[in-house]
Amino acid sequence: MWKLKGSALKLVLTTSTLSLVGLVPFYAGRFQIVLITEMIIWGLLALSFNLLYGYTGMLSFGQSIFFGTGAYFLTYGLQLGAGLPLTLVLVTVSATVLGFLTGSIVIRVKGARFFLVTLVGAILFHLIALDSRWLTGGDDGLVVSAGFLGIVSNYYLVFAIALGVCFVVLILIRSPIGLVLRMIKDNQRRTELLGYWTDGYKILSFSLAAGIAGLAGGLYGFSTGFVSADFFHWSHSADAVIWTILGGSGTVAGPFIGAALLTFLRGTFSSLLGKVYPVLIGALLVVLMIMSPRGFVGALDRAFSCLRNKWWNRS
Amino acid sequence: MNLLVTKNVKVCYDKQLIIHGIDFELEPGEIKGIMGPNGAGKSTFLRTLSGELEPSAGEIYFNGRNLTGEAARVVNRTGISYLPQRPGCFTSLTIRENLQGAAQRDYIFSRRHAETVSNLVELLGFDDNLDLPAGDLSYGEMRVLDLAMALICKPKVLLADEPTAGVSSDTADEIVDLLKLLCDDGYNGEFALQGLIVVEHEKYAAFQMANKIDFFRAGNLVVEDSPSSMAKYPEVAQYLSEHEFE
Repeated sequence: MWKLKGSALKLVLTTSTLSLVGLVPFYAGRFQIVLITEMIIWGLLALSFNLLYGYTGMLSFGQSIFFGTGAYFLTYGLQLGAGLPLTLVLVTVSATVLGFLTGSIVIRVKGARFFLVTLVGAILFHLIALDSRWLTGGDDGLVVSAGFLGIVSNYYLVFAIALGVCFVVLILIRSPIGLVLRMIKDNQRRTELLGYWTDGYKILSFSLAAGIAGLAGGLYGFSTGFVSADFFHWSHSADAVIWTILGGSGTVAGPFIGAALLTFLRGTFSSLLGKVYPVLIGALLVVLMIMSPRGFVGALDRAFSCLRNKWWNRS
Repeated sequence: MNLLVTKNVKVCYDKQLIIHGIDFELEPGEIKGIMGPNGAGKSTFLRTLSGELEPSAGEIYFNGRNLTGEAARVVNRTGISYLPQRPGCFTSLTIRENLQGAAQRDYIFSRRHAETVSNLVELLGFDDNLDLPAGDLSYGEMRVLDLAMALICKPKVLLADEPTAGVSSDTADEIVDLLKLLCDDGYNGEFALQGLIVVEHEKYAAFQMANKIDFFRAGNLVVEDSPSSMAKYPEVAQYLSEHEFE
């Protein structure tokens, strides 16, 4: 009964949040719409990292590789006149294939070395993109040639795609494949001993996460109308890690909450606080990690449980 | 034909030779207990049979098939299941998810394993708390859940590494009874084992159920005999007197 009430509460909360976000163009100004579009795209990037870390237990710093790849593939696709829908599909597929190829190599590396290899990979891709000016435009970048849809239409495009991706990730996580991914995160050795080819599942997770990161990169490039080698910078991977951990890893909402919170703080306070801003964010992270290791969603969950218990005791 | 055979198996671990060439045989329907002091190589031998460790020399055959150097997942899929020494259940998942995860290996997109899961739940008495996180279980309950996960794909041979270690005497009795049942009729034949290898540091479980005991010392199989005859070997007798349990 209480479990049912808890689920109903979550459903109400999710529906109202989605409605609130869906109706943003009706009550927010242009600047806010652009900012929230950016938040959703960063949320997608964080969700891709979350699929690796939160559900499969792989701490990867390589998401910027696929983010940059997605952005450039979108530019090339539109330049070739493939049209936006087909280009977005191509972007996702090409990032997934690149994820499969790189994942097949790097997942053999275990533990802290995995994190280092993906970080070095991200740095390497950034340097290659900087050097290949003929292909990427280097620091000067390339202009996305197709016409911009307009702030509101672009917002709904990003919102709809993000909703679709969340839905797919939710289905995946609740499926038997998702269960194996969670088993690997918990105890890879035991999963292998139960007869599973854990490397295969890790490659699958790596490829899908790469596809989502590529899609996020494509959407970001399309929304800003510009892509540059900077899209490959490893700091995008670091941001995805911070957003996910802050929001709550192992949940679909967590990465979006983390990305929204930090993008809002950056947008609001970075100009006011200048160099103090990164210190403030660092301190916030440390405090949150001590108070709630499961991030913002974990803290929210705990607060709900406390409320529910109090309610239960009273009645 | 023997069910499981090892020929001169040697195992190196951290550049040290732990198993010094073991010839071992398990016949169909046999229960073998492996005993010996700490560091004798019992668990290393079992981990080698499970595919978790690769032998540096020698060969392993199961039902005539050469399994030497095969990965743990391949060994598991041929019908050898391994119950690790420490609880190996997934503590962040519920009991139901643990069982489902272990059961769905061969039928990942079908519900064919549902009946097996429910039969095992009934057999082990997990009916009431299937949605509890496995991390909330007591040590003994985790061992039972581990055993359930090892059995759920209906293996032919079970390698049980100290199944009763660290549990209360009541739980130890339950586990021993359960293992006997599995080797006997296997819950109406559904989970019947063709062979069982039990590693025990103390004599309790091994002596309770084994047809034969293998005594390991310093990486060698030094004695093999029936439980009742073990005391006649001086080094075994000395070990048993030091590790009297009951």
